[in-house]
Amino acid sequence: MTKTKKVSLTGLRFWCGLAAFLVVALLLLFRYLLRRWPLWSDVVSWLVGGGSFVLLVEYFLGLIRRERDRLKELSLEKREREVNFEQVFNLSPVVLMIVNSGGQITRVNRRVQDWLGYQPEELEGLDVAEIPFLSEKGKMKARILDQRVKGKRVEARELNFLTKGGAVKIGDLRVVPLPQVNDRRDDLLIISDVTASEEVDRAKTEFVAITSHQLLTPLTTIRWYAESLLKQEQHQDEERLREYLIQIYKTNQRMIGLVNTMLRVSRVEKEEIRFNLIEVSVQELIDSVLDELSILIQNKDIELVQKIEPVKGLRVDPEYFRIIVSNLLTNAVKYTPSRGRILIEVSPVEKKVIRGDTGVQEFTLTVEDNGCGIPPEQQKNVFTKLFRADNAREVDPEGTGLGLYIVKAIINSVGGQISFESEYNRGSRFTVRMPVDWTTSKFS
Amino acid sequence: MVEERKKVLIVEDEAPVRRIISDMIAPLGCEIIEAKDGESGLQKGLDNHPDVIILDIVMPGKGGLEMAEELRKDEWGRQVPVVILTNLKTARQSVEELGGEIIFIPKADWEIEDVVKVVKEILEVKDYLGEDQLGSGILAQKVRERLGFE
Repeated sequence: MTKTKKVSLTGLRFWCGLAAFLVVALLLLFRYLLRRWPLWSDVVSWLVGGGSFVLLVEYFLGLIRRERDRLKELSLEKREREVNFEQVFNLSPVVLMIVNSGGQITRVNRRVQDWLGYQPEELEGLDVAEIPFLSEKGKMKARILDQRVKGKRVEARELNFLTKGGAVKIGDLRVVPLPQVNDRRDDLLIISDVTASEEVDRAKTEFVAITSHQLLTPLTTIRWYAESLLKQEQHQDEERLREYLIQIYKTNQRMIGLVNTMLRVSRVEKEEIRFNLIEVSVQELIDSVLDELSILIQNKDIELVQKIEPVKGLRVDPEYFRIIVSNLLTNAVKYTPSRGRILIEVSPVEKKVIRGDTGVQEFTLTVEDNGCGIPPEQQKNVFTKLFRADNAREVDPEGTGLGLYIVKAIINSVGGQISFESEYNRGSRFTVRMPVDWTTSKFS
Repeated sequence: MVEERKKVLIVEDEAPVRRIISDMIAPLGCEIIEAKDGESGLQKGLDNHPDVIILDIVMPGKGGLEMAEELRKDEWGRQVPVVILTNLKTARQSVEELGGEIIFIPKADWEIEDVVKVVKEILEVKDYLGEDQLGSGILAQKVRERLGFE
């Protein structure tokens, strides 16, 4: 609020004006009494009189102007507050609805348009019981009235909301009474979108269900084999006894593998990994992975071609690097039929020096096979958790669908990328591009 | 008179499970036919007309429920006793809706010995009930009664 002009100045002008007016009045009085005034006194008196009159008028005008300015300021402030309210109301990340004491919706914010597809204008004026996107409309009105009467808080979690297009979103609803103004008491309905967190919850629950089921199967198998071994009649022959024990052992190993994979997923997601960085030779690492797979590769008579260039200064966490290489190679071997061909390529990336900025030295690792490939419509899901392509499932029913998910997470965490090309029944080619030195990654 | 050997069809994708069921049933003297997915299971069922089918639910491609649904559309398939052996306990209702002679066994809760008993019982009850009575669920009910479970 700007300060008004100093009162003293105004007062002075007023008093001058008043004084001049009085002088003129006196002079005129004298004139009247003496009936003998020179002409110049007339002029002076009229000038002074006129001047003082003007001053008085100006003073009163000033008062009026000041009052008008004050009112203008007040009105501007009110406008500013209104605009702020509009902004806050409409920019709110939650849906806000104001309902009057009669149960009628008086205001709805813009968020309802983003979230549910309805224009605020479509909803304003409706009775709360007529809300098109709420399935429990009648109850809503009853709740609000009830809350008013008893002063109870109205809160509903995870309600279903229908968008204008017919989709379902999930939100939490709260009714907050607004302060009473005159004899009006409105309520504010706050609806917040929890669809995303609901989906995350659901995904987690599903994950637990699927992995529990995955564990239950081998556990049942082991149990049955053990039961049968414990019954006298069954292990009449040594051969069968040995076979059953081997089966128990193998199944057990499978479960340990599954649990380890799940723990890895958990650690990757919670970002609990800490890398132990050492300098390694890429050829040695790949050799050791190939060692593990050698029997399988031999049995399937797969042709293995290696084009591995040395990568200078390779400084990584061998355990996690191994996970990447092992996953890609195991997949290639698993999904390639007998007499197939697998190509492994490693090469440093040509460094482009831009204006003296050497950037990060990177290298690429490529694994290519001529196996069953990935069906085109399923390719976008390849790196998602628990995903298994239908043809992959046929080839290897035991896969977890977690391998590539973990691989991608590790690669991303070191600032690398993974991509692939694949043709159904022709083969796949996975390419990983990573920094040579993982020191700057977020897990180091 | 030589009695025809009974036939048992095992439809299960996990080889170790197929193996042990097969081993355990062998003493019953039946001919054992194996299938590792719903597709071939359905085919072998229709080709061989086994006396009982042991069926897993979770399999790649055509699952057990889908196979059983198609099976029930067939004249013969409508009356063949099916033992559903699965870890998916939530499938119980869908299984029972398949109708006919259905016995639901949640693998994790059952001993392999008892599974064999069920198969044995089915073959026996089937014998004395006669083919024309099959398909209504009466065989499954009798088996449940005799072995004392739900």
